[in-house]
Amino acid sequence: MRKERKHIIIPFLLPAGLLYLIFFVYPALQALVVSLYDWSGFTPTWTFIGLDNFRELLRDRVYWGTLGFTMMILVVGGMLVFGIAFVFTAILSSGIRGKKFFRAVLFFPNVVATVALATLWAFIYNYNFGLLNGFFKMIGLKQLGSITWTGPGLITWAVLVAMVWIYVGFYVVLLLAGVDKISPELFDAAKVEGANQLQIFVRITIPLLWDVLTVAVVLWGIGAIKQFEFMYAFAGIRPPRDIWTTAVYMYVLAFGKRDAVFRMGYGTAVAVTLLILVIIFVLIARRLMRREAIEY
Amino acid sequence: MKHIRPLIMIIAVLALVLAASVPAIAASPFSEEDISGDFVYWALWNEGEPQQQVFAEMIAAFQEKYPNVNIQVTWAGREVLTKARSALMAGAQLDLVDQAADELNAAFIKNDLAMPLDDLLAENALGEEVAFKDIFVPGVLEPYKWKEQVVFIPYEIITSAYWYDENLFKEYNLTVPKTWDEMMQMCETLKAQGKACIAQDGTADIYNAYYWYWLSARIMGPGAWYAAVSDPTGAAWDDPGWLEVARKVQEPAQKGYFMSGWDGSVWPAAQVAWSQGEAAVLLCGSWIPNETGKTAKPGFKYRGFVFPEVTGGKGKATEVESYLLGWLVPSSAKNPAAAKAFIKFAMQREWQQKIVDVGQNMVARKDVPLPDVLPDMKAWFDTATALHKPYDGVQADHPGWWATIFLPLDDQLIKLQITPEDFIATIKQRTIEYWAKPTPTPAALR
Repeated sequence: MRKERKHIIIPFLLPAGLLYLIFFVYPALQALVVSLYDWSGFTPTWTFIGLDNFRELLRDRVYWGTLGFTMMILVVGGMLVFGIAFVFTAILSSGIRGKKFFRAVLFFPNVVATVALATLWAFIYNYNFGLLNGFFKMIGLKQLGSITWTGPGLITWAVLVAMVWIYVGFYVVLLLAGVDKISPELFDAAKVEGANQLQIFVRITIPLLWDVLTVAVVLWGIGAIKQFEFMYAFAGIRPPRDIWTTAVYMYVLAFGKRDAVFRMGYGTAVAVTLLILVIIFVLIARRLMRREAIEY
Repeated sequence: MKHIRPLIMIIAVLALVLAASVPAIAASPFSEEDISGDFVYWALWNEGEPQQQVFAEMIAAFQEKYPNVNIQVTWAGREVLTKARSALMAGAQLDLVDQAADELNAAFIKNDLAMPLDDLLAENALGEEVAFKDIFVPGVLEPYKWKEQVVFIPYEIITSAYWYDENLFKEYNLTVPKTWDEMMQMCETLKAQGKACIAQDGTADIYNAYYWYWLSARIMGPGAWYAAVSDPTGAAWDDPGWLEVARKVQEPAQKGYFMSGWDGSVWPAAQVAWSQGEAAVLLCGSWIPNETGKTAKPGFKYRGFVFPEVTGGKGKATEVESYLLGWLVPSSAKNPAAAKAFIKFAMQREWQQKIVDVGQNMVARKDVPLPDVLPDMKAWFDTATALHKPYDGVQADHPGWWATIFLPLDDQLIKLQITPEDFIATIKQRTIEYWAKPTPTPAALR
């Protein structure tokens, strides 16, 4: 029986497996090779330099600065996104009316192009005619209405808030889909036993949602580590330095953006570190979130 | 008859001499028949942009003139080189590419991947009895020579300067400052009247870098910054002139001459505000009338002045920046004949005039007048004693130093997050580290 299943599984997996090998595994391995060379990306000749690109990375202040901001998105952004997503999930799964409407509203930013969202948020934060300062001035809070939200020190937080706004909806929908699969009898039984909404959410919903949550955390981690589009599009002409993620830095090094650095080898080394980071994150996340499977 | 015969002889000899000499300046290495086959052009313009439409029209006219050519144009946008690189590495045909000179320099020229175009320049301009090289604004063919040969042909010239609305200057009774001190005085006068002096999109590091660049050019002279960056010992930074440059970079922010909120201003907020009369001047490229034309308040009259001299400085106001957009024929081009023919075709007066009319930019042909929105620019080039590359050539030739060392530090300097003394000490240290790297040599210097 097992042999027969193998005969069926292999042909079904083969096309997807081949595509994965060709379009992901091979380029990833090729990137590892490129990262060992000094290469502008234009010349047919590459100069082998071993691990020198990685050695240089260790001393590259810009790299570490961008990695710091990337980690801020991953950790602080992740805490905010999941914290808020839990609140919405708890509220929306409590049986309130209009659940589908609120879910659609929360998900809405995810159907808009990131470039448009970045432009919108740049407008919201605009010092002179932005929505935020305009709102504060309108309600008489002139001091708050005179803050340069995209100024030094604040811009990273301003961007983080925007990203949380964008991504919360996605994770709410994901978590709600998990909640929908939980048998309503469990919630009913808990209510009969006198549990309040918070107790139900913490003791029943989250444990039964654990697998979905693990997937969500992994997805967030991968997305956060390779975060690029929003920062790149935020200021049109070029991304402000304070919000350079490592992925933005990789792009600047390898492809240029008014800076003709064109260091494909070094840029690829940066990309390789991102890949390693993603692998480490996924391993740690899965390890920390490993639980006995709960069946219901 | 006896008198006529020697005359005929002289005429005949003269005719022979002329006939022999004409090919030396006018012969094309390619005949009309050579201009055929597939011709692949990757352009920096995006589909729908005004200048793209001019180029599309130009390409259609070229196709009509050379029906044996099959033009394949890709409107690749500003990241044309990124896309062209992939095409080149895949072995695809690429005969002509256009982009800013500094980017072509780093990508193609310094990698020895550009085709020499001196033969083309020695020919006559298309339909004219003048050598092709003589139709250009003086000094624009030389900066990006490679191995003594011209490999880059510019078609558009941009320069950075202070831009202002003439009406606003009249309203506040301002005169164009000739020195940095006069500039600061003008800002003080405006500040006293509650008017913002300088608009600045402070999150755009390349715009912030204009202050360092121009003050170094005026205080230390053009080429000095380039030399300091190129010095692996870092000793050049010990010149006290650099400290003066750093101190002056901080002056507008220290004295409150930039518009409120400038340090967090996200492009194009400040230039839009400036075009609506909320600040007096803007230090930017000559594309600014084109970029702000739609947001400018009614009656806005574009004027400009070159970055003022600094009293006692080595640089002069007649030293002008020339930021060039133009073409390059890759050395791997499969149809260089068509590429060269296209360059000559596109440099005809009528097409250059269209770029002026539509793009409102200065073009590389010296006999095409400037657009009305740039009334001052011609005089700057007419009286220029020297042209220099944008950012003193540092961005073009030392892009790694520029992007990873200078720009982050310069942002801190102009935003008063670092003292001038610390800035100089840090930049010296990091320049030494930059050159001491075991690897890799910046691509531009190979």
